[in-house]
Amino acid sequence: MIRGLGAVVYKELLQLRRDPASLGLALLIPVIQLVIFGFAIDTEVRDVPFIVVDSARVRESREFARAFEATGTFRLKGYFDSRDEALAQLRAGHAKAALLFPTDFASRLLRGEIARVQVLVDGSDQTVAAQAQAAALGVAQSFTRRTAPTVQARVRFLYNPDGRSENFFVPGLAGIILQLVTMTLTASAIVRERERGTFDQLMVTPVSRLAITLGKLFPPILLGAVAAALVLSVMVWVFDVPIRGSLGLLVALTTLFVFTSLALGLFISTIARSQLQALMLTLLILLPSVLLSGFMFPRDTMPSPIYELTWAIPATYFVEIMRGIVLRSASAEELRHMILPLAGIGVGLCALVALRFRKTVE
Amino acid sequence: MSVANAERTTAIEARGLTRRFGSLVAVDGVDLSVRKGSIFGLLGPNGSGKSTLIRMFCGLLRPSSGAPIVLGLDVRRRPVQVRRRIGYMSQRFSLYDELTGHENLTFFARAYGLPRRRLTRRLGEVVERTGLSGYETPRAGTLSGGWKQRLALACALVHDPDVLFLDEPTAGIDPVARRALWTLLFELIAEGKTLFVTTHYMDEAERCDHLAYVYLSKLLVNGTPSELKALPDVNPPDTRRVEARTNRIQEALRRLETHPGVLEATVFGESIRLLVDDATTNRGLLAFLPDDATLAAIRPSLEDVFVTMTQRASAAAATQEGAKR
Repeated sequence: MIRGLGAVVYKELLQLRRDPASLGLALLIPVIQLVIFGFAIDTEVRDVPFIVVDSARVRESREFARAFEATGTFRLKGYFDSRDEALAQLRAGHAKAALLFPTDFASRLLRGEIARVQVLVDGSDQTVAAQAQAAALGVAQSFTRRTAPTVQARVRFLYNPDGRSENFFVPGLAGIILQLVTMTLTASAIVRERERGTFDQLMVTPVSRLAITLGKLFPPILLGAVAAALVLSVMVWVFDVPIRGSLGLLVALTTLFVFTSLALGLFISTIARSQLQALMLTLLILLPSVLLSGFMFPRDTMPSPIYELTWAIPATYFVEIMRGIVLRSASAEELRHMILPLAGIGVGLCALVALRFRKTVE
Repeated sequence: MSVANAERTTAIEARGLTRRFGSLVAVDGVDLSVRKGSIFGLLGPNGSGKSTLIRMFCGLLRPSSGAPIVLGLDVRRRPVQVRRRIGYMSQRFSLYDELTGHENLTFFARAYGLPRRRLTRRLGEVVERTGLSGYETPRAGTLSGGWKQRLALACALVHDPDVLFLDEPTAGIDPVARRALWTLLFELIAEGKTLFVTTHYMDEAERCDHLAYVYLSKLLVNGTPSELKALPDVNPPDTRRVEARTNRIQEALRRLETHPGVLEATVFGESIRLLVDDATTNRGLLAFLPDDATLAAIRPSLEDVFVTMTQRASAAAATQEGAKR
């Protein structure tokens, strides 16, 4: 028997029981994460939104679109009038694929010639792209078997024509890394001073709360900026992922995301009672950011409650924004539906931090 | 004394100061006043509310009711003005371990808004005053207890405050460092600063101009050391205090416990301090004690004062508790 082992185990178990928050987190984290990720992570692609530009307007074109949806891989998002409108939808990330029926689709079918349908696929997500291609070819083939004349689907991959996985992963990864750096730096900012008793010494000086908050944010912001520059440089020069969109917009939105991550970190700092709790809460937020933000697995495929949940994760918006600007050269206007909620979350978190901060002091 | 006069001569004042934490009352209706340029000692067992009281004076904690007033300013209404003129040294060492002494000092000097050109000179003065020379270069975390406390004091003094709050400044440091720190505190008094100190050491209490004793969140007594020693509670009628010296303390104590005239007996190293009734003569006591025992009349010590006050207060609290049920 190891001398005193029983005593140490006894004491450790008691301490664990006296720290219900940490205990709860320790038990809850694995259960929540397992349930959510178990349901959400599904490499089979389903319900990917697609759009249709139907210049033919005949029964056959509508049937083709319906058959495309019937594969289960795709979900019809709506009809648009022109190729340009369809491209804008793809750039903004509203849809991942578009079916384009030319005006002569019906007449060629009538004449018994080969009728062509063009399938535009957002190639930035490889899994989605491959499934889209398979579905389109499959539908065309079964169509050909039923109707005497041939329907040919021509699939074109947009944005990532070579199908490089770096193009898909690296922009998203850059966002995740930025969040990791800034959040972990701020999460223990206040709790560390409280644990060490330096907080009171700080609070008896005339330094204002705002000064403390901003002062504490300064190093993470600086490091966040350096990290962002490094990450983007590595993306461009090491992984050869060119930035197709506006660099200025990318920098501005990266700043917005860093700001939101810092606010999230500060929020943790105001609710955590110890540095250990701060670390666990950081993990609780970081894991969904990695697995549910669309960084690894397409969000469209996730079951509906979890899909709704992904809107609460700041990384979701930033992964979309990064891919939008870097790969699809999307404009601020086209990404508005991602930028506004991200800014909203950031401002909301700041308000929460300000509210919590007062309580933390006492 | 007129109100305006009181304003000029009073450094710290509390009127009905109360703080509750949920159902727990940590400080209960405390009234006190500290004269400028004096050293005020706050005593009381752990958990009696000493730190809570100090934290309210420093603006770290809002009172549930009552007003903490420092240098004529209501701490609740003008916390920033008060902070500029007070220094605070908390119970446990709370500077930045990974910064050097000099860096800690610089940080606090800048936090108090000292202009840069005055900073260097002021830091030099503070280092000189606290005898820190040579100890500003190592990291604060590596200093020994006594030097840490000196550094903490230096940081609390860096903006030349008029009032200093020291929460158990000498807890856990060796006697030599303790004495050195008190020498420093007296020098600060000589400069006209006002000191508010909590302590558990009776010899430190003895050095204060004015003392207050808190027990179970309430301020029990308040006065100069000699006033407290002269309190009727401490000197019950028809009793006197004697000190018995002997080499056989344990035996003496055992015997005294059976003596009907001995009301209190407390061992102090090689002596026993006794409270006896007037009916008990020295001769009668000596007959009770070991052969080598000698007796001497003594005045009540501060410890006698606080032990008596605590016993009376806890007895009263117990009766009150009993009455409630």
